[in-house]
Amino acid sequence: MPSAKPSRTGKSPRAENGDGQLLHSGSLKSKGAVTPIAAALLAMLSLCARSVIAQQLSFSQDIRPILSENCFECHGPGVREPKANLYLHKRSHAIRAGDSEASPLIQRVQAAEPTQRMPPPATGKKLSEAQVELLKRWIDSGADFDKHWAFVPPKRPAVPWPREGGRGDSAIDAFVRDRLASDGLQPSPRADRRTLVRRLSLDVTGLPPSLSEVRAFLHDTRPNAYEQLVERLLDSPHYGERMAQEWMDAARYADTTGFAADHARTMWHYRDWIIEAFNSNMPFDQFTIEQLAGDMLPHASESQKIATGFHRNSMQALGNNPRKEEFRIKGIVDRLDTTGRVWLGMTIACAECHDHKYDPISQHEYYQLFAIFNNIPHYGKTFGVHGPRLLVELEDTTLPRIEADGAETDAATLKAKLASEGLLTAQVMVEMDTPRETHILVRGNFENKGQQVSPGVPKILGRIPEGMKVDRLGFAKWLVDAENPLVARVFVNRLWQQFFGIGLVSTVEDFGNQGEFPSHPELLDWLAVEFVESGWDMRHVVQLIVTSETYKQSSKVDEGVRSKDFYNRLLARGPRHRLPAEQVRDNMLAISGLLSRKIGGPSVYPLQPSQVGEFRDATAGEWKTSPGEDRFRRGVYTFWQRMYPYPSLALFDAPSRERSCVRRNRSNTPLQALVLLNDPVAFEAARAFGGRILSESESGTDPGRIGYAYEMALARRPSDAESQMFQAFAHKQRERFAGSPDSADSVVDGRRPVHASLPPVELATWTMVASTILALDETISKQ
Amino acid sequence: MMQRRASLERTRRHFLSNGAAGIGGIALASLLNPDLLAGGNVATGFRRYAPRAKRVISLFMSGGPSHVDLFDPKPLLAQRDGQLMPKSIIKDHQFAMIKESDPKIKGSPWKFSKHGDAGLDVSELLPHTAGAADNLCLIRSLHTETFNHGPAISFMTTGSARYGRPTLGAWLSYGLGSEVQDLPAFVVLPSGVKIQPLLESYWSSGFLPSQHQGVEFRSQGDPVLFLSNPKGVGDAARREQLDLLEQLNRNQFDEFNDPEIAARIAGFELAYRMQTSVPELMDTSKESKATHELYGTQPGKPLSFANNCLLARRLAERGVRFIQLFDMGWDHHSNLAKDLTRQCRGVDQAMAALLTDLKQRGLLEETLVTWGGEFGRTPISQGSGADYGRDHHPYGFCMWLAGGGIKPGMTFGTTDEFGYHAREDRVSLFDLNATILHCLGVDHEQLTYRFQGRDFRLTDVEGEPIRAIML
Repeated sequence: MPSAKPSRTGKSPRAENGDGQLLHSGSLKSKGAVTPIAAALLAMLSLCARSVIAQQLSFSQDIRPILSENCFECHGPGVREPKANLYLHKRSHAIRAGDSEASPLIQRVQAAEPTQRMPPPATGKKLSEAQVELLKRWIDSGADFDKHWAFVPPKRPAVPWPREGGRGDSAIDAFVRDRLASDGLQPSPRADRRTLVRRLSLDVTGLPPSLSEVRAFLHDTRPNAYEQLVERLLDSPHYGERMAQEWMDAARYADTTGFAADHARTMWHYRDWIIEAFNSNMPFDQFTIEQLAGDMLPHASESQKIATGFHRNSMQALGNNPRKEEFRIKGIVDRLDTTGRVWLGMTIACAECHDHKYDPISQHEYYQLFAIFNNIPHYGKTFGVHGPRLLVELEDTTLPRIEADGAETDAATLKAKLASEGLLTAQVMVEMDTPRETHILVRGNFENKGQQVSPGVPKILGRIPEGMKVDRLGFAKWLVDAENPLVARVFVNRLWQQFFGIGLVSTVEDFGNQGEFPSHPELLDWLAVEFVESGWDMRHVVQLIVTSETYKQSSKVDEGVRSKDFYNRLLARGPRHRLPAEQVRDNMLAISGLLSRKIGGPSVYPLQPSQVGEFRDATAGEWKTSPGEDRFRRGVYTFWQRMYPYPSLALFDAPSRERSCVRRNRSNTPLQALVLLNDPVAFEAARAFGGRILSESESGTDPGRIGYAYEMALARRPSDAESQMFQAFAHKQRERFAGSPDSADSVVDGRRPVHASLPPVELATWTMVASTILALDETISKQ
Repeated sequence: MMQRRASLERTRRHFLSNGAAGIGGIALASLLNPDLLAGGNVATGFRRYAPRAKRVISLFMSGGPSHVDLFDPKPLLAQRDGQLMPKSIIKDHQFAMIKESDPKIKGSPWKFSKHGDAGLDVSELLPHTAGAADNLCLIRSLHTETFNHGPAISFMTTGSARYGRPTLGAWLSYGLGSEVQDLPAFVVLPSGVKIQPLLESYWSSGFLPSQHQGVEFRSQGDPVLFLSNPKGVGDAARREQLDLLEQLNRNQFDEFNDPEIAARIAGFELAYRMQTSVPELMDTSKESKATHELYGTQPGKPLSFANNCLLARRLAERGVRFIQLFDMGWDHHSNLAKDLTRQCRGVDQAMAALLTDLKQRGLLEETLVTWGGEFGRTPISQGSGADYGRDHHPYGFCMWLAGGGIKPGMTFGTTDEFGYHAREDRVSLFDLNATILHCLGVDHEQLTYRFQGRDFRLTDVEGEPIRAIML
């Protein structure tokens, strides 16, 4: 079907047919039951269809997407021998500039005769009338071709300010409000302080604010109280953990090799490197170079070598497969796929077997990139985990954070213990002295070698400067050259996605011809240029985003505005989203007081149901629940077993990390409800939180305790109605448990010694209250 | 405010109302997931044919069952037993385990005979299945692309040997949703002897939204993870908790107008229903004695392929879209004689019973049942002693289909006289998947999902429904 993505180039075909089929079944229309939502969708789609009548047409923005979607498969840049010898991404006889009537392109897309019509009816594709109109207008106005927007290096656009009354606005706000005004929407008021402190804390550190942090912010009368809060949170060591969580998805970080054998291998040194890099605000150019080629830097430090663990995260096939070379090749294919997705926002993997169908990357160019990554010593020959490794010399100062609970050991003993468990090795990259020859692999078949190629980068993206060696290090430096059109845009766009839930380009992994045109192109470019000119300062961009009025808006919205802008692409309100998997866990543990805030160290094994191991292989080691506080570490430290992901994280859409992931799904399923209410970890948190409510609340009354619980969990006070509902609920639970002491004993079973003095009926009652609060949509959402 | 409440009420009623709309709660919850729609990824227009089948039961024999010992008799192998397999047949093939440079032919030690009106060849190892021959469409010309278990199972379940693609079950959940509200659209039931591990990627949603992944029903502990209430929390307390959650979540909805909250409310309600419906489903004690005798099951003894077959019928009755049984332990590199006998004994009666039972309940014609593994086994022996086995064999092997729009009682395709290469009417996995989708009324070329700029489909760029085997 033609694209149903929010299109700027005319009405979506989906909006046009509107027969409800997209809603999985034709029966919805007659039912009419989801009309409000369907209506909202339709409105959203038409909203995003920019009013093109009044504006100058742009090839990149308005025309290329139509051609890419409908024509490029046979007539695009990736086709070596185009059908009818016709290309449509450049000037051709099919387009007569200034005369759409006489242009064969228009005649063919409008042809009534099926054998004449383009695209051929068998493809199931058909241009809408609106799309044909656009093509006509474009041809009549001269049929200008220009380079796809994302391949043109960004220039800093003028900021459209000041708008009246916009004093104090940031550049971000100026761009956003400019677009809002042209769409006739008003920004929302600023969210209240309680909402802001919680939103910001969850976004920047991944943890909820403590009660005292909430109160301190409420009572901070300094005019720059918010900015101070931002500074404080960015200075927190938990900032690095929050940022690392996103980067670990992109880097496909895991603690096992993947594939059926799925052996454990020591990767956590690299994970700790990421956390430290964010916490020390390493500039993104250095961050890039060290991860891709730290081993090749002159006098590379241990840390720079550990950074190259990035590309040792590829899955590794172990076992007796006779096709060793195939798996070596697939490892490189994965590295290119990941590099393309993470830095370039390009689906370069498409060119492994043939020229890219949509973007100007030839198969030849693909193997030129391949040559850059083709010089790592061969490994993976046997059942064991192999490959270049580094024996890590841990600093004595870093040892305490990985020390086992309460164990009084000296540094040497601990090092010996870690070494005996294989925990002091890091997987790293090493470059061979003599590079391998690289050939095009015909149709991607590792046994079918074609023409030999030399290392290089795709022409469309520029060249590696003269005098720079065309190897991994040269490539990494080229990526973060200010002239690279994609890297800065791609990264700031992902940061934007992290805070607003959707990128300025929603297809964060694809900035190519099939990707989405940015909702705010000037803002994206402004941020990209600002990022580079700030010295690739990641923290600076985060700060710009979270201090903007756009970010600080309330996320409450009436149905009218929501139906006009269903996905908040225009940003007339603040972000509201369910928390990522790790934060669902971290938030619950933090509220309950169980969370260990220890940073770094070997991955840990939180509690999981024993039957998860049924029919599973034990090659990665038995899942032995970690002792002591390691049971309650943050989600980022969970042992990431690719083939059997930790269930409560997986159910909230944590990816298995077999491949790089830069955009997580956000599903909403009944199985998540079961985790929130029944997962032993969640219930243990509820029990601890219940105990906390009882023992720490300043008030001994039910309303006082409910108020305390709300502030702990949600950083706000309950409304009278909410308090009354909970009072009634607590009352009922108390009565039930009083009448059934056995149930109360079961509920409080396992209470920590600290709660031993609490009466079981009371603790059971407040455990139920706590469990309910922890399962609220509000609790698991940032809003 | 009133209007919003009314709209939420309508949405909610729609979630929870029974059956008529033919849309499962999970599908609807996913429907309300803005991200699903935000990517513009909702396919349309793929329902092109009148469906013959409403659902699929896949009996997956994990490890690779030996086609030449079960369904593809080759007298020549017995005649030449112990002789070299001709080079013209082996070509330059590498084997997973066999290291000899001159691999030797191994005939089947089991007798074959013809069964049913169509005279299907079935080995004496599968007497019950032989009795159901008139229901089967036996395909003997399958071939696959890869010969190690992980990639081969991945290929059979997703159409790609590389991990990361959606499985057939996930495609069906995505495309057709569920007919039932309080069960997942895609259920996985494992059994057997653990030789190779069972990987979650075998029922992964790949790049499809994660709610479409298969849900594993387990025979120990909670059948679905986290299904039971914590100890001490009874049904009444849980109900009160859910009522309170709903009220509070509704207040949130009123303030924020976020449909995610409506979906969350429905999610809690559906989870609550699953807490009843799943244990009820798993409890086979109310099945008649005759039924238990038919399958060879006993109530209270859950962990077996036979019990999973019975559960498959119960899931089919309830309208679950895709039910996949993984029977582990078909990887017979050695001790073929003993281990294949054991493995067949574990499945034969039950899979025949499943067909009989579905048929007698009128479900077989709307349920497509498939049987097979990730590849066959070499007509060459691995090892030369009495404990010989057979190695992995991707070049030609068997599967069978039954019910749901497939012609019963026929054989399709052949291998060469050694049972080595698929020869006539060769069937690729893409053809097979195109056929399965066709039976479900789906045009395999039109069921697509936009990922990284490309419209992906289960059958990639290949596949043709096999008209000759469809009703």
